[in-house]
Amino acid sequence: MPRSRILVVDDEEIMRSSLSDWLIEDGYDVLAVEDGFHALERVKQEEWDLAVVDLKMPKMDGLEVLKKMNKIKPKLPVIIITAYATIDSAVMAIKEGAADYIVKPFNPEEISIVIAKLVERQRLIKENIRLRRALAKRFKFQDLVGKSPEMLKVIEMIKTVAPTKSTVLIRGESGTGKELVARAIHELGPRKNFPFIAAACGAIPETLLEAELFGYEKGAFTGAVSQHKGRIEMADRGTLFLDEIGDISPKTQVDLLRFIQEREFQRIGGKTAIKVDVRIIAATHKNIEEMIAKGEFRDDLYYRLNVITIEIPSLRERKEDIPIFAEHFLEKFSLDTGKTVDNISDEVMKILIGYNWPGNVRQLENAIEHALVVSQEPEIKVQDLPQYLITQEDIRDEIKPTQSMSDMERRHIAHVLKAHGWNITKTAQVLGINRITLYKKIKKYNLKKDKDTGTRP
Amino acid sequence: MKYIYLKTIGTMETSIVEDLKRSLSLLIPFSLRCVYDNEYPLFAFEPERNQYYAKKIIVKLASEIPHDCEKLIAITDVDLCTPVLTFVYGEAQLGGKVAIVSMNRLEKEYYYLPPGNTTLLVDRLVKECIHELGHCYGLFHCHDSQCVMFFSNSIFTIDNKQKRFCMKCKEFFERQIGKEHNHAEK
Repeated sequence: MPRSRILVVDDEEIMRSSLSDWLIEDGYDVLAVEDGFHALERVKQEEWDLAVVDLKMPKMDGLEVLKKMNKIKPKLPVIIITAYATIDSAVMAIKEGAADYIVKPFNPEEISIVIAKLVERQRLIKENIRLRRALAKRFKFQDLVGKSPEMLKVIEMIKTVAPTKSTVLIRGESGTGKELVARAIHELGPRKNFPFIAAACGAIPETLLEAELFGYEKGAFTGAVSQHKGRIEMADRGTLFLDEIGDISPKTQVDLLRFIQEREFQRIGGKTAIKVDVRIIAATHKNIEEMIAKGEFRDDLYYRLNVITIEIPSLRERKEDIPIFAEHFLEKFSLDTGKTVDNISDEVMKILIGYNWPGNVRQLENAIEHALVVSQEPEIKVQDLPQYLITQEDIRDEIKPTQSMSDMERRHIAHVLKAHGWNITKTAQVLGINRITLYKKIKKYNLKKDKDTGTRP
Repeated sequence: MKYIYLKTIGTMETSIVEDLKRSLSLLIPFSLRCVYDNEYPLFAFEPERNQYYAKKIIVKLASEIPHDCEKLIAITDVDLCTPVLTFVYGEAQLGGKVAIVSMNRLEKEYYYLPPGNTTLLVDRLVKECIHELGHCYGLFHCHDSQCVMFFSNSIFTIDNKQKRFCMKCKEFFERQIGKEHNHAEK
C-alpha cells in the first residue's frame, strides 16, 4: 500500500522539521513548506491525503490557506495547528471547513489518533471513488446483451427513463434480468453516485419485511436492541429497487403506498417523519392485474408504481439472442476461471436454441458456467452440458401443440427435480430461480417426491 | 568490532543500566558497552516547559560519537519533549547513529504508584531502546500493536507491546544491518 502523503505548512523551521520527523517516523510521506504560497502551489500540482497548517503565519495566515485549499481541493482534509489557541479562531477554522483544530505542542496520543483517523477516512474515500469507477466500467450494459428487436426496445426504454425521476415497473419472468435493468436505469441516471438498494420482497419473511424496509427504533419490539436504518432510508438520494413486489402483504402495501405518496415515513416505533429522496423501481413476475381483480393487490399502489412499464421478454420469445448470450457468458466465465474455452460446438448451440429456458437468462448463464467448469477442451461439447439439457430430447418428445405454458413449466420443474434427486438448492440453481420461488412452484403444481422414481408430477 | 553504546545522561542507577544491558544483549545481535555520564544536558533545557529537547541532545551526542560505535543509545532520567509533542519516551535519528530514551515517564512513581522492584521499568526501557534502535536502522512505526515498532503514545501501549519485532519489521531490521555492514566494509 502506498504511504499516505501529508503536507506540513509552518513558518517556523524548528516546528516544520520536528513535525515532519515525527510524521516520517510514523510512516507518512511528508513535505514541509514555509508558507501558504508554496503550499497552494503543491496542492495544485500533487495529490495529498492531509494538510497540517499553522494558524499564525506572516503574509498569508492559516485560515486564508485553508479557504484557498478548500477551493482547489475541496475533499482534502486540513488540520489547523496553533500555539495561540482562542475560541474565536477555533470556531472560524471549523466554520471554514477545517477537519480539526489542535493546540501546539500536541499530546502524542491525541495527534496520532486524529491523523490516523483522517488519513484512513481519506483512503476510504479514494478507494470508494476507485471502486465506483471500476464498477461503472464493468457494468456498461455488459450483461444486457441481445440484438433481438424486443431487447433493443428494452434498452431504448432504459435510456429514455434513466434521466427521469419517474417510478418504473419492470415486468418479466424469473431470470430475465429485472434487477440488471433496474441497475442500468440507476447507473445511467443522475443518481448513479448514490446508493442502489435492492430489497427482494419475496425472499424476506413478511414479519421482517416492514422492519427491513422502514427500519426501527431501539426498543420498538423484542430484539430491537439498537436503532436500525431501513432500506428506504439507506437509498436516500439513490434508487430503491423493490423486487417481487407482487409478494408483499396487504399491510405492507398500505405502508408502501403511503410512503410513495408522501415521500416520508416513520421508523417502526419512531415518532418523527423522515423525508427521503428516493427513486423507486419495482419488479414483478406476477400478473398484477389478475391479483388486483382477486383483491390481492391494491390498485392504487399499482397505479403509483406503474408510471412507466418495461416488459422484459422471456428468452424463448427471443431465441436469436441465445447464441449472443451464450458467447457472452462463455467469455465472462473464461475470464473469471482463467480457462481458455473459446468456442461452443454447433451441436451444443442447437441444443441451447432448441431448449425452452423456463429459468430464462439466469438458467442459461448457469448452464454455460457448468459447461465451462466441466469442459476439458477449448470447445464446449454436448457432454459438458448439464444433464437436463442432454436428456431434453425425452421432454421434447412429450411436447404437444395443445399444451399450456404452465403445463410445460410443471413438467420441466418435475423433470429437473427428478434429475437432481429432489435437491432443492441444486434444482433452483439449474432452473435459474431462487429456492423460495421453487418451493412456491412445487406447491402450486402440487409436485411430490415419488419413492421409486423420485417425482410424481 | 563495533558496539552498541548505552550512555547514561543524568542520575541513573548502575544496576538498572546493567540489567538493561543484560536484557538487550539477549535480544539484539550486538555487543553492548556502557558509558556513564552524570551531567545534565542543560543546553537542551526548555524552562517554559520544564523539559529537555530530545533533538538538541541527539545532535550533541552525534558530534562526539566513539569510532567503534555501531549505534549509540542515550538513557536519561530527564523528561524529554520535541517542539511539537508534549513529551516523548524517546527520539532517534531515522537511519542515523544516535537515539535517546527517557525513563522519566516509564517509572511507576510518575503515575503515583508505589515504587516496586525495577523489573517493569527495565522491561519498558528495553522496549523503548529496541524501538529507537529500530528507527536508527530506518524502521518506521508498525501497525501491529504487538510489535516493538508500534508507536507508543501512552504507557499502556508500551506495556501492551512485546520486546520483539514482528516478522515484517524483523526482516527489514536484519536486512538493514546487513546493508550497513556491507557499506562499512566497502
